[in-house]
Amino acid sequence: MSRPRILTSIAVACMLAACGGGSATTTTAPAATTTAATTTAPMVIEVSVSDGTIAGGGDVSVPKGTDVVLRVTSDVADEVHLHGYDIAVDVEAGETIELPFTADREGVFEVELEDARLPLLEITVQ
Amino acid sequence: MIRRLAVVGLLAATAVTGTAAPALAHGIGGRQDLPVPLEFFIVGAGLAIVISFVVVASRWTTPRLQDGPLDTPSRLQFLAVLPGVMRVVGVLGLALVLLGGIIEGTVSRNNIAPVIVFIYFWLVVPFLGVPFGDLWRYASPFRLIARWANGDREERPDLVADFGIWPAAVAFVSFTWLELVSPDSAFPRTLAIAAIVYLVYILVITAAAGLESGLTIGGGFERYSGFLGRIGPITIERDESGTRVVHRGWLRALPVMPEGKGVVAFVVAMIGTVTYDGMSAASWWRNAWGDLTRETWFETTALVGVVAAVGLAYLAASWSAARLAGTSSGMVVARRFAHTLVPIGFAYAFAHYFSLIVFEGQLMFRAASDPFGLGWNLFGTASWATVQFLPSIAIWYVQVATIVCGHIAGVVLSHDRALADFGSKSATSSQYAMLVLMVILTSIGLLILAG
Repeated sequence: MSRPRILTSIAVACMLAACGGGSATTTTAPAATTTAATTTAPMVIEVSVSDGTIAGGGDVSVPKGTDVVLRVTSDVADEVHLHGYDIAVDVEAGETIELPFTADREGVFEVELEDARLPLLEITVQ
Repeated sequence: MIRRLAVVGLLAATAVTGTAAPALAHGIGGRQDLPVPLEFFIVGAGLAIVISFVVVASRWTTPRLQDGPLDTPSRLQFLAVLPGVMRVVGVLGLALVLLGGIIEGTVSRNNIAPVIVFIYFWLVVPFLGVPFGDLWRYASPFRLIARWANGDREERPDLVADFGIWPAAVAFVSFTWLELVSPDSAFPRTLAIAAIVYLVYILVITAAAGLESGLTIGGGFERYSGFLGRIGPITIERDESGTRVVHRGWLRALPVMPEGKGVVAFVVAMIGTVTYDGMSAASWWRNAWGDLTRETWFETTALVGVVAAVGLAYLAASWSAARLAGTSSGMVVARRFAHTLVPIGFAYAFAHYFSLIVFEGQLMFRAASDPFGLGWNLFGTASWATVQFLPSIAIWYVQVATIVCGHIAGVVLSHDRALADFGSKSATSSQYAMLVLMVILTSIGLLILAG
């Protein structure tokens, strides 16, 4: 009895995913972001890479809705990629870049120095 | 034909020389779910144990599922359009993956190939088999091309008896290796080459064994989608006389599943590969192994090791069941009960990849408008962002419910098979071994979700 119902709901969920992507853009995300954005300064997470070793970072936990600035210094030219949010910023050798984003998606997200395939840190948004 | 394709494949392979460039973690995405909280885990595992004993102690004392599908006409005849739709989708999908790999080598973002391969082909189509019956046999462009090239070859059931589905099991694990271990997994060119390699392989094996026999022996995706397609209540049959939607009844197609060589290995691999994916993403795994987890050889060993461990656990349970029932050998029991693991394998995969489908699946909007990252905007959706429209708690409910339902289906199938094979007296005691295994698998499935 419960199995058919579960599978029906799975099918419905899939259909919702298929047709909900466009219309839902305005519903969920902004509500969480605007409140945090107006009240608090962005949270800064700093990481630096030299000779393939990582300083700072570690695994960071962030409340949902927080404005975050990821500040990354690298001694090699590469690309800093925040997975899941899919934001990427190029960094030159010796340069520090800032990657700002609003943590409006829940989950565990990896930040990677893309070309070196070096995972810098994991950001948990909850 | 085969030779020409092999040449194309080799040319494409030489074109991609080891350029170090970006890869998306685990095929695609790079987002993991928040761990399932402890209370979800406890309730899920508790339910699994209680339900197991209810099934075993119930008045279900004669086999009910062993006679195979009901095979009555379904009321859902409108679904007969699906095979035609799936065929167009399959051919279009292969064409886009090949084009994606020709146009773009190593930049996965803004390319449609990883989205098609890792979300729609690898997850959505097989999972749709649960409500609708195996759809990959209609969608598969590989089958279509093999039928055109080798449709007139003589069928060789003797080769099916000799090899079983071992080659298919190896093909299946090889693809999970590409997904989970290969550092180049998300490169469009890697995926295009993989598609060509699989096509050549299917053409060779169907040339040797005939179309249906060849696909049975070697078709990794064909077998996977075929197994999942046996869980649900309907299937869509198509022959010269037309297309019919057939009502089979829940789980009824599983006990009549073929039991040849390699079936045990295949269903074990279904569970083992997802277990490895979950484990390798957990923080305790990375803390335990450190930098080793970034080494390809280590990941390869771990993937094979986890599959082997699941296999050994299953063989141990089968051996114990055979001892308790005092009848057949452990290997016979292992083959006779292999189908009971199929719903558990599906539940593992669905719970694990559900959020990937509903969130990263939205990448298709972007990719449809700009499939090759050339700045196109065909449908005006090129800049659509992924929307996380489900809160984590909804994902946890879906995950735990799926795992528990898969467990129930496994226990029910196992109980029914035990009644059929061992008779109602020794059925009860012989089941304890399988029951313990299934409770362990369910707990591991939940533990992986709990990170």
